[in-house]
Amino acid sequence: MNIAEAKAILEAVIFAAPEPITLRECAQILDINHRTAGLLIQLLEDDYQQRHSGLTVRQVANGYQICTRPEYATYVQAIGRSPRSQALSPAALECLAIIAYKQPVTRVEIDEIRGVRSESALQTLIERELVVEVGRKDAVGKPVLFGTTKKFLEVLGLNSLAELPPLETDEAILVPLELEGIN
Amino acid sequence: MLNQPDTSSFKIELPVFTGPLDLLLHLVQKEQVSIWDVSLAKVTAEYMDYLETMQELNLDITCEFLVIAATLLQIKARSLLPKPTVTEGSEETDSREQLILRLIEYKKYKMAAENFEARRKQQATVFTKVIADPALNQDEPTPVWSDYSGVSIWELVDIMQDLLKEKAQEVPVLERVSVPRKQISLNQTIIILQQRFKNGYWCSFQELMKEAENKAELIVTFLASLELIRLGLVQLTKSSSNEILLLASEG
Repeated sequence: MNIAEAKAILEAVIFAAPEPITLRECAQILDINHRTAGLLIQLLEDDYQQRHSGLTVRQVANGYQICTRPEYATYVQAIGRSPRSQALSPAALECLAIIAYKQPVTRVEIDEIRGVRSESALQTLIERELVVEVGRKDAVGKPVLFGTTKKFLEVLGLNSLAELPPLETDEAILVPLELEGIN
Repeated sequence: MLNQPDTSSFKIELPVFTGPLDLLLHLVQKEQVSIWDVSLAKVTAEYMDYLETMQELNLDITCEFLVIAATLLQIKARSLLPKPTVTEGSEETDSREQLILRLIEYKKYKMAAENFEARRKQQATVFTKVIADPALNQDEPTPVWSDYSGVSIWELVDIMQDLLKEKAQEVPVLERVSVPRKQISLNQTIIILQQRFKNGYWCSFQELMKEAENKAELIVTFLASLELIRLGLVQLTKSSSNEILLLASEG
């Protein structure tokens, strides 16, 4: 198996995988080490780039995926593909942000931060498979704990939770609006 | 909806308003001072005004809004009472401080939420091949207000609140001849507006609302435009000068 062939196999595997495929899986399939697999994927991506392909390999949710280039989005939508993710309501987004940063977290803890009940927002997030029950808290009533999913990483284009941008600091929040230069 | 003339049945779902802290934060930010320095007395008055406007617009005011209202009033009442010379007075600053700390904490997540949506939108522009799983390709209805070029419901409520106040100040001219009261139905208004918003027509949200002759008409125009937005016939957008515009949707 030469480099060109290995690259072609990886391309086929990444293309056919139903969801982002991890480096480990790639390495196992080709029976090579992780480093080599990573290098081959890099070469594959370079190939796409060099021939100005409409496709690219992206790294997301701790895996690799072949997808169209963002600049061709309007053309892809013209054939009837709807955007990969639908907009979320502001309430659902707030709820999602709290879960992402504080996970595992209970519904009551989310409610406390938001000052409002989050049941329906949470339900939406569960239906969209962005959050999931991850266990129960060792407290009175054993409340359900929630955490984010792999789909969440995919939707936001994150490779892992460590890539989440840090929350704003108190100091940044305390700057009055006019100084932030917003309108 | 078009077949339902009863305006009382027009309802905006609450999730649109993410809650009392969202409202409070909006009011505090309008003051353009640091959250710590804001005059809670002033904000309290505005908060109460908003609840009233929401009521007039038939929006659900849930108990959570009232809880924060009660907290605000309590802080205000304490600040009005003569301060005992003993150290007990610290209770007032405590509840003020607690509320402000909550607001700061809330704002962090609100900002993160906005950031999430920006990321999601950007990511939504790349496509992977379709996986033959019909469950993954179901079109979900886009929630109202989530995607209107940065126009928030509160900006509309701001405009409406000002206009409602203006209308309230206008003294009705007394007429000698009795004229039958003009009936304005929501249905008719929707149809009239729908006719207008054809072929790329656009106008400023505020100007459209100002066309209303009285309060009832103003509210009906407001509801009618919301309905057209919900139906996707009219879009909200912002001009370069940050004015909120309504324009006919394409196609």
